[in-house]
Amino acid sequence: MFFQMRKVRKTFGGLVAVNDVDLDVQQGTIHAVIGPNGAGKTTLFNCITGLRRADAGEILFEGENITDLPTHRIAAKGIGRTFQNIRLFPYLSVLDNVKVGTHLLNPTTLWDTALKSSRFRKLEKEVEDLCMELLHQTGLSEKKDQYARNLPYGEQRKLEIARALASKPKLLLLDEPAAGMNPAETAELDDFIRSLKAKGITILLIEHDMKLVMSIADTISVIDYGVKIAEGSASEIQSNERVIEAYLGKRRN
Amino acid sequence: MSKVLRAILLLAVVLGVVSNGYAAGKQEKAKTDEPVYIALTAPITGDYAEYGNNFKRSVEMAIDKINASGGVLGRKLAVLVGDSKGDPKESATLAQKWTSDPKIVAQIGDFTSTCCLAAQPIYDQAGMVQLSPTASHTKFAQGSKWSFSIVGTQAGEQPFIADYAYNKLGFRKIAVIHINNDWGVDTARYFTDNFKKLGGTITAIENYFDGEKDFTAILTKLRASNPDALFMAAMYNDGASISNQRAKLGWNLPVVGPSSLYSEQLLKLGGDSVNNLYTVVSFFADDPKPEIRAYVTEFEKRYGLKPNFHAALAYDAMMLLADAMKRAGSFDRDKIREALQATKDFPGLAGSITFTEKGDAIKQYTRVMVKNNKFELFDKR
Amino acid sequence: MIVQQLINGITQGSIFALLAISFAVIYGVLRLVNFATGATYMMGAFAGWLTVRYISQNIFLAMLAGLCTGWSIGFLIEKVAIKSLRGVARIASLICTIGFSIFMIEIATVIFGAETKAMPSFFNEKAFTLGGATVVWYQLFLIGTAVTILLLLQILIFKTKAGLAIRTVSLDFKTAGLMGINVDRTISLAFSLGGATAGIAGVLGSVYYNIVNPTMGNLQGLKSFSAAVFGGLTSIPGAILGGYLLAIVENFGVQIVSGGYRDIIGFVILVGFLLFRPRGLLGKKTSL
Repeated sequence: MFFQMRKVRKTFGGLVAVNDVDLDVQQGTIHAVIGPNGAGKTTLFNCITGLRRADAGEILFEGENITDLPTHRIAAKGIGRTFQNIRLFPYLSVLDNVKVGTHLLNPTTLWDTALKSSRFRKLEKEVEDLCMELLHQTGLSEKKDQYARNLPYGEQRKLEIARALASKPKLLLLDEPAAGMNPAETAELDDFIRSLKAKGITILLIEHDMKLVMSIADTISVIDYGVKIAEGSASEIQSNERVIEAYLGKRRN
Repeated sequence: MSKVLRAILLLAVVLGVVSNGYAAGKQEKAKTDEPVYIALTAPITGDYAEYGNNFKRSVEMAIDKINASGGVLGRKLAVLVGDSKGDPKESATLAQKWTSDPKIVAQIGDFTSTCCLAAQPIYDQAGMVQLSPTASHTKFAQGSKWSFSIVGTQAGEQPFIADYAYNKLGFRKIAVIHINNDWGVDTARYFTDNFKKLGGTITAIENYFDGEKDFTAILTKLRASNPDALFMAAMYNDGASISNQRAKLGWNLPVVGPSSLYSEQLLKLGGDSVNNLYTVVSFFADDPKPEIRAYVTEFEKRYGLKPNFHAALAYDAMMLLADAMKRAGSFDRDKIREALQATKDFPGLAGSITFTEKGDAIKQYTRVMVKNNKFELFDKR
Repeated sequence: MIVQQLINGITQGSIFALLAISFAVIYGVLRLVNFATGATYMMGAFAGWLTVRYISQNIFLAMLAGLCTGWSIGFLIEKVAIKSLRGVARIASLICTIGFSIFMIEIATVIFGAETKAMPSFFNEKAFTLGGATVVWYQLFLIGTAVTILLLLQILIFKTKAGLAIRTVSLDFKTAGLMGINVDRTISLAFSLGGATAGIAGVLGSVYYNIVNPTMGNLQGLKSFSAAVFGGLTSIPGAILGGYLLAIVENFGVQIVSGGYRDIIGFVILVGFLLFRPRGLLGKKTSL
């Protein structure tokens, strides 16, 4: 199995945010996690990337237990992410923000830099090219020297994705990428995510825009009050009783 | 929680090692056969550490010498060293500690006038001798019947130096730089008053605070006042720094200063820049007198360095105190004070000591100058 | 005379600027004032002194010794004061840096003695006179070296991968970790860099003033801290500007008012900026 969560549990005081969740993600698919606000989806992402430590359970990536690794080691395994509330480096340029993402790929040392070795120049060129390529793809190349904080909201989202892609992740976690986007931008995003899948990147997606989710997700998991209540294809989920209950509330007698 | 504990422990260890290191060793040694305790307050660490350590060296050397010849009234002497760090608050705290300990019969210290003045009321109230080797502020000894100083006051020294500058060296216009503490202000004031009385002109006065290392700005300003010579009310360290920086600025002129400049350190630190410096001493390490030769040789043998004026004064203080105890025939705090007050012509290394009614020592001074990076007697030229 | 005061100020400012940078690099990544900076300066000076005295009368070798000593001290402080106290209130680390400072001063006193040592002069010949002001070669050397170090640091922080890591950790260390940046190592690097800068400043300063002693860094450290606050604790260009401005303002303060007011001028600036513009002249809210 490419990515697996087994009985992962996370509590905050008395609140169980993630309640013994199992999740299997197949390589090369787009897997969406949906659920009402406060269902524990972002906490799930935080546990995967190491920002929060799971209280119990295991997280396996390519067969390796990554549950207790520090964040930078998890990133090094090939897991990238974006955030629901954007977390760019506000006072770095757009280009530098993407460059940070390449940190893991770039093995140059201080000595290389000091000596301006040919290795350094070659790698530096590769990094530069990769970053510019990503900025082209996201349509941000014109603004590469601006501070990230000066970009409009939609472009900040794109920049976050570009940054996450710069580390060439095998698994990309997208936390509400369509939030705050207009329908035209969402449609663009739809195409973009598909293109990532075509490149072989596995996507784990949290999203409230059901149109987008139903359009691109191969598998959908539904979480409510920290518990996984359903899993399946778009059509299966749309007809699932418990899901409808969770979203619309129990019909009163 | 355990991390907080670790932090505190770490800090405690770091601070503990440092602050206990000095006193503890001494106390252990002293327990053998109940000696008579003298307290020494001196800046063992901090900005004045090198002066304080000279106190400690001389006092320990003096005590060893006294004990080797049978002690005082049949009992051995021992010293408890307290580190005032050159901080008046610490000096006062130590005074509380010493005076409340019945084992301690008298106190030697502190180094700076400021520290001595801060501790004075405590010794005064408790009734314990406060014998400072070096406090030369005019207010110190007269402030309490328990306070004595053997260095002589600036009121005694500065008229002599002013006369040296005006009459012997022929300077008419002098610029003054002084450290801004009780001693520095007092020294500068007595010098300028006396120099003006003789008919000289003070072209400018500037001061600096403790710990300052950069004197270029002050020197540039003083230079613009165009004096014949510079008067430097500073310890020898600062004196060397001031001279070095003056030379860097390309400003060459003779320098006059108080006896605190007399030290091998001034020559070592100042190099060529301290040539053409004039001061006075009441202790001269190159003096051929046998008792001074004996002291200097012994000091060099023990500590690997040449004693300076301050070291000699601390040695005198300890010897004088032992002498007073002998004359008193008692270790009673009050009796010691009476005997000390009655001191007449005690033969110290730094000149003979007779106390005025107020507790100041009257000193004799010798003119010296720095030539070819060496102190020489001025009048022998 | 004005020219002379300006030159005095720029020379002194070079030392302040290096130390202010040392504060800024560390404050940048950790929001922690490293109060052991002045003591690191002193240890660097002693390393330089030992080199000159026992190995070779070579100022470059002395500077290298200062750099290595400072680097090691910075590294050590991070390991003890920061890493082992991770998760404890920030004040514990702050106090620990003060403890380190006292520790180093006392260790130096025990090892080397409290006596001030003479540091020999280098390049002490007169270079030129300008408007009545004398400039010796060493002043030019000191200013030149300081500017070179400042430029190198600037390049390191803004043009290299390690520098980018430092900047990201300074902005948001959690996100930096998610990007694969080893936050611990980056913090350690910043401390080492800060230490190295202070160590080299110690050698430069001790040669300029010709003295070395255990307390030489106390006032220097405190003043440089004001300089860093002045320019903006989170901005390297700000720290440099603060260092030079503080020294120049102090020197002219002496000229216009009196030497006795010199420290007051510096600390009034410190308090004033803390009260009215805590981010300093160039500091942004959250950037190095």
